Amino acid sequence: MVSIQVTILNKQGLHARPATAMVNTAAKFKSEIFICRDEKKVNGKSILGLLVLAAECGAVLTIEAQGSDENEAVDALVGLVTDHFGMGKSS
Amino acid sequence: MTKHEEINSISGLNASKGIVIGTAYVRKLYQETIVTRTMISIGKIEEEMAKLRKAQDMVAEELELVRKKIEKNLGVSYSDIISAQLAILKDQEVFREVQAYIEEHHVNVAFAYKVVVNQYVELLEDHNSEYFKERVSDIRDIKQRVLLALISKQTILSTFTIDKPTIFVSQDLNPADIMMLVSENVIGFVTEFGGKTSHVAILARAMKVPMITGAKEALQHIESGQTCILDADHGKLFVQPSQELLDEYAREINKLDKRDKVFVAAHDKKAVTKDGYTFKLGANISLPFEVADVKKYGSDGIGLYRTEYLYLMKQHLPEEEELFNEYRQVTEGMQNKEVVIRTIDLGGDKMSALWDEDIRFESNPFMGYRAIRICLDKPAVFITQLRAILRSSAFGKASILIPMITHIEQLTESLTFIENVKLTLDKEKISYDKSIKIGMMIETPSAVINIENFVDKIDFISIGTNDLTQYALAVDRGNARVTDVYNHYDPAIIKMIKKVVEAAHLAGIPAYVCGEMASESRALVLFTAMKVDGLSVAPSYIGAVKDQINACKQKDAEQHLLKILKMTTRNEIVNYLDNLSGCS
Repeated sequence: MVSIQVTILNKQGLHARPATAMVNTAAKFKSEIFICRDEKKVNGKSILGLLVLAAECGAVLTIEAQGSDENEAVDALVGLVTDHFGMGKSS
Repeated sequence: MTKHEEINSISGLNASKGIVIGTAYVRKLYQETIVTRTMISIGKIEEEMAKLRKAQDMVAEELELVRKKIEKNLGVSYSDIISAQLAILKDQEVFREVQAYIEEHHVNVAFAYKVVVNQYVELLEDHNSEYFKERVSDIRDIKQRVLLALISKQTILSTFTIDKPTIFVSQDLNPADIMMLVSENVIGFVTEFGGKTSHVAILARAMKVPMITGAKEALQHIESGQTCILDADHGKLFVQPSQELLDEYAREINKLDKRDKVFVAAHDKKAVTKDGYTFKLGANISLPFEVADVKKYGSDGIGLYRTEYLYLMKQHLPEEEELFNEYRQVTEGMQNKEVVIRTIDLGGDKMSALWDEDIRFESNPFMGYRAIRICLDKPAVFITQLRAILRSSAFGKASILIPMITHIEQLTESLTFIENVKLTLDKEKISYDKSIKIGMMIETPSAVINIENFVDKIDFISIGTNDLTQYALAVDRGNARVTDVYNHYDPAIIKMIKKVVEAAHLAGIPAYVCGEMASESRALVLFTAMKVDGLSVAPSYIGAVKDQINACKQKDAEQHLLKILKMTTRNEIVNYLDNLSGCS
């Protein structure tokens, strides 16, 4: 299993559009993916799960992946978060 | 028009004007679909899950249809709302949890689905953040659609008869609802929530569908199938009206239709007075597809293109490309007629869900973080919009209008931003109109009093009479207790407009009026006398305003103004103007 911490940098947090982007990216991998915040742990391939985390700007999340492509999955998701979900630095 | 006060009437705010007669369809939004719990045998689990998959496909198909309609009518950039709904619909975790629930409890799929989704709704409702709370309505909406498809094998659209013109009554509406329903024979909207300026109201106005909002207890007083008259102009809905009232309204609607046809036929008429004084008559729009309407009635351009809609509608800040595509449709569509693009006038009663909550819930928003104040505070937002406007100017004739300027530093700072954006575009070899005109809105008393110092720095001014009246008389026009204080015909307002127009002319630049007052027949004599250079009105008013101008004599108007300027009360002025037949 691979696990890494990331900080949400988007001004508006992990709202519907970035959450959709995250789910779409996670769905490309065979590994099981979980996103954790404090006590909560949700399926990284579920938009409802991600919304329930209500991760605002500055929230620290742990991305966990387990499976044959776990490294690639975590890299892709970390890249998405650090790139502000491709929405530009002002968002 | 009517003087009847029927017992069965509901009042609301006029969010989009117009009068229609139709059959009510009442959508009880948060009413839970009744789901019975039945036991199923283990062998049937696969069958139950197949039902869920089929229901999800039905709903997905309907949402895709809505997405296509939105993309066709509004443009691709408005359809993200549907993408989020589709992602919720297809959530695989929900699917897995439903299956686990059925395996454990041996219940029917509809019941399991409801339990699973409700758990998410409860979790989200507990959040402190407004944004995440608002997503609850998206999730509920999807839940309702799926349950309906599961239980009655129907989609939302197929649940009401669309063979009759329908007045849609609901607690609230989202833009996707409006887009979908208007193309399905819905001719009017009544909602319990919402104000005059919500993004849904902007959309209804742009689509020319009458709407009243804030109609309290509408759901309790109207039932599906009842005949209703929606008179949005007067903020009224008459439920099961008398035959007499129906006839009266039918005659009125007929009269308005005929008048509209005459206006369209006379689209190439000029906005010129009997003695040859010509106004530049522009249209106020909020969305690109309104250009078709503007052309239908014939105008000299777009006098006010409000650009807030994209910011209100989206769940993220619009990107340069989205804005550019939007503006280009308008500049290109108007074929070299001037398009005055106003930079965002967010704030006040039009708050974007994108700002932080402490901004969205200011105690005094009209005095707060609004329009140019936001732009100067968020350079990235301002620069993105300016780049998009300048780029669109290469495809037609655009000008830039800056709202809510109160002091000179704000104007010079804005002009510096524009100059810098131009320099960057030059470096990037991106083309734009190098002689693009820049103007400012006159809507604060400080801008009026200090007008001489502004006019030598800009190419035109545009007077926003609604805000000017509100700020000069210190009155909130949304506050019902003080509506009588709000009056465009106060001597103070007339003197302010006159001062501003004279200062503009002295500096050799044109003065335009784009507030509600521009389309009021009684105000025309004032603007004609002052030689206001242009008026900008809603597309549907263009024909009527041209007719009024054609009936005017500029020389007579000047005489009337001299008398009006001597009057000391608003009553005197209003009475005098009302007694003039037109402005001659």
